[in-house]
Amino acid sequence: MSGFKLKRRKKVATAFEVNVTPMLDLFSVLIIFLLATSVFSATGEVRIEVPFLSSQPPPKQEELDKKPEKTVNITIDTDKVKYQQATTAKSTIQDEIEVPLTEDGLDKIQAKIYDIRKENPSFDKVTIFTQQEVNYEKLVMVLDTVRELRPNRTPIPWPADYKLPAGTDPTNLVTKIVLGNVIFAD
Amino acid sequence: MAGVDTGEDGFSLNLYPMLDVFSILIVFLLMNFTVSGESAEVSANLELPVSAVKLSLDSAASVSITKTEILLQGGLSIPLTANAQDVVEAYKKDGQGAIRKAYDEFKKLKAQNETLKNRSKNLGLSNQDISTLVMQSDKAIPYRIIKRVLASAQQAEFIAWKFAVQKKDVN
Repeated sequence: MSGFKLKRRKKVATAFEVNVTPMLDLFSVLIIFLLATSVFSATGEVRIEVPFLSSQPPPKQEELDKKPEKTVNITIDTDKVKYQQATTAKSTIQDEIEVPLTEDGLDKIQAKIYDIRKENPSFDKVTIFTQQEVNYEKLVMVLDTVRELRPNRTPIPWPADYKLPAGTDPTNLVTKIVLGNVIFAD
Repeated sequence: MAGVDTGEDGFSLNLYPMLDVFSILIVFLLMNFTVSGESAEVSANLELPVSAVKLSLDSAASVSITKTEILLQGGLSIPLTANAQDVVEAYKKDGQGAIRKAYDEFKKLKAQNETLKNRSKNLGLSNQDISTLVMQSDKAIPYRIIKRVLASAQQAEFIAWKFAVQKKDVN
């Protein structure tokens, strides 16, 4: 027994480490993929309506005269846009401008709609008539003008008793856009 | 960067903080992707116009108008030749602006929607908005073509549309 000497084992400092480099590589690839995909697939939507086909006769003029409402019609041509504001009472045109189909021209039209909406919060419908050769890009430019408030304009100060329709963004100018000339033309 | 002296090997980088940052970034991107990412597919061979709109496109039955054809969800393709004269001719024949083939397809879709609506009602499920269609058109397509598609759908009682656009603020 005495011949054995108990030797104390020397403690070896083992630094256990997980190799995180492959994980880091994977994460980098994933981040690049996610960033790239989210940028290129950002598709938005502009909601529009087409008039409903009805066999009912239109309302009588006397009824419209009793409770006149403002109407705004916009006609898009290949290089110009016409804005007409009228009332349902006798369909009298109260305001009319024609501007070139450019950002500046469209800004003037937005200013007009903005003023009407500010004065009359219940006004929330614009009808658009588009000529045959106007392309989709130009139509969307006008839809944007009618729907989205430009950054240079302050949001409309809605009166306390006015409730925005459900799902409406406060930066939306007009929420109901109707494409007027879908049938019975050409 | 913080370094750890491992003794024998010398100097190695501490990658854990970087891993933490990457994990947070991935979680954020995945969440963002799910919430505002797109649930509707956009046809590859068309270029959408840019818009300032903030609303993201929801999935719905869609109509794609490329430079060469009109594609209806479900696979029907109506070819567009130069100046789309065939579509224009069909329009004149059918009257009121509809493209016969498209109208028939929309009518079928309407019937399917009605069945689905009734089933959901019987099962007590919440009513999904299935009466809206998505229009994906190339930015160069003239309104005379778009109009015919709108008219075809209108006669099949689809009057609400979502026009697909490319969001401006993302690019």
